[in-house]
Amino acid sequence: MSLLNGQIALVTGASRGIGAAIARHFAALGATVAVNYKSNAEAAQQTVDAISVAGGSAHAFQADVSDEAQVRALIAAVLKLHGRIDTLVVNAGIVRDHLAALMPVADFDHVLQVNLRGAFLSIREVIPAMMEARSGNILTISSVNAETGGRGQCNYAASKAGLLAITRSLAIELAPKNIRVNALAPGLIETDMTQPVRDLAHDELLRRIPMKRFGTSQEVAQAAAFLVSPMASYITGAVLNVSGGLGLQP
Amino acid sequence: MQTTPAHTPVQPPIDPAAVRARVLEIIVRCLDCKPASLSMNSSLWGELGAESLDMLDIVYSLERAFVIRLPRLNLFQRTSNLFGADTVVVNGVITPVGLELMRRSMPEVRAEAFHQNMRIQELRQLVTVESFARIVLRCLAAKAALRCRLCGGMPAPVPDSPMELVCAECGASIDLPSGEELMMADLVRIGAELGLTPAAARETTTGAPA
Repeated sequence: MSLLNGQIALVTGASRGIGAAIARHFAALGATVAVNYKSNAEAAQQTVDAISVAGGSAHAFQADVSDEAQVRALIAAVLKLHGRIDTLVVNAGIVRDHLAALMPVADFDHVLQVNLRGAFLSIREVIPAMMEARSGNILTISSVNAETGGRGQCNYAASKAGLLAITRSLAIELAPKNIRVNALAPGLIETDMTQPVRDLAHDELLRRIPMKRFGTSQEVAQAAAFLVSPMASYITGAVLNVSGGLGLQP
Repeated sequence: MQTTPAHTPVQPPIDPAAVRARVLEIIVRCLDCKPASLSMNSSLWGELGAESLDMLDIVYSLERAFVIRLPRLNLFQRTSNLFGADTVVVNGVITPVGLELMRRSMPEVRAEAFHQNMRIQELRQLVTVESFARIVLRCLAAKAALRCRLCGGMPAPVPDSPMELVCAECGASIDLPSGEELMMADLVRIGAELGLTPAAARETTTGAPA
């Protein structure tokens, strides 16, 4: 039997990058996946199609996770279609990098709104259904930057550190109802989002990674599958770095 | 020509005994306790050691089971918001007027439980299984009286969407009655019996002239 057989999983921001990889991997392991996207319907459909072609089951759901009404409608729509949500992967995130002195307030706010407020809204709306089911998995996709910080990323790092605080707080809050809450902290992963920084400082970045290579979305997805699977049934409030050792040394 | 309703209306008669039994059953499940350890008069915070998350769990479960919208505020919050905190509590002690408001709002509780110099923290110890049953019954009664604002038709459930209602005749969306608004309306009525005016109304009537 596959690791996630029978699970209903909602992955936010799953049209591309790590979210899409998680959606595909979960489906390959037997989960039925709700693929959330904000604006790129074509990419979301590609994720859904890739899952379908591989014999899995997925549907695309449009919603801006920073919008309360849209998140409420998203969760209601997934529940209407599938009857329950076993796993929520809070992945939707953006970057707006600038040195702090040059960072427009709008860019600071926007990153916090999507990465942090969006996470809170998604989790808040799914809690009632998980409480009723007496089980659930919530996985937040943070970043090693939450611990290490990053030049030009005070907004992003703050949002990802905030995600860890949400993860730990809710792990305590929801444990009595058998809902586990964990976080992944990816390092430098080969995605569209990290392409500019990898182009800019490829060799310098590799020098900072003990494993001397960038990670792949698939490697993040594998760690995600472990944390939401029965294999991790006694793990909650944990942060799992998927970083090739990035952040372990100065 | 007679049209066939798009949805089948449901208006089951309310059986208070059955509702109470179902409420009890749900609370047993939410608190993960033995049915024998629970009665309608069991205090959730006191005897059963419920925590705030358990209360939320109970509210969510009751809402889904009965297809109703329960209030989120507690009685103290509601009375304070409506009549002003000073009317209800002074230095952590519930005022005589506050006690009377609470007593009349919670008829399932023995009157002598609302004692002089009662502190606000003690209030939640009085919340029992019956308290939840009372509020559920109140919401069910309001739902039973619900009709379409457009055509007066009966509400009907939406297939696969248990918390939504539509008009069985015209298909228009019908909102479930808000438990918060129902409780607030009851409190306004009780306040009026005691000669109390809601704080917002007082501000309006005593505000500085333009």
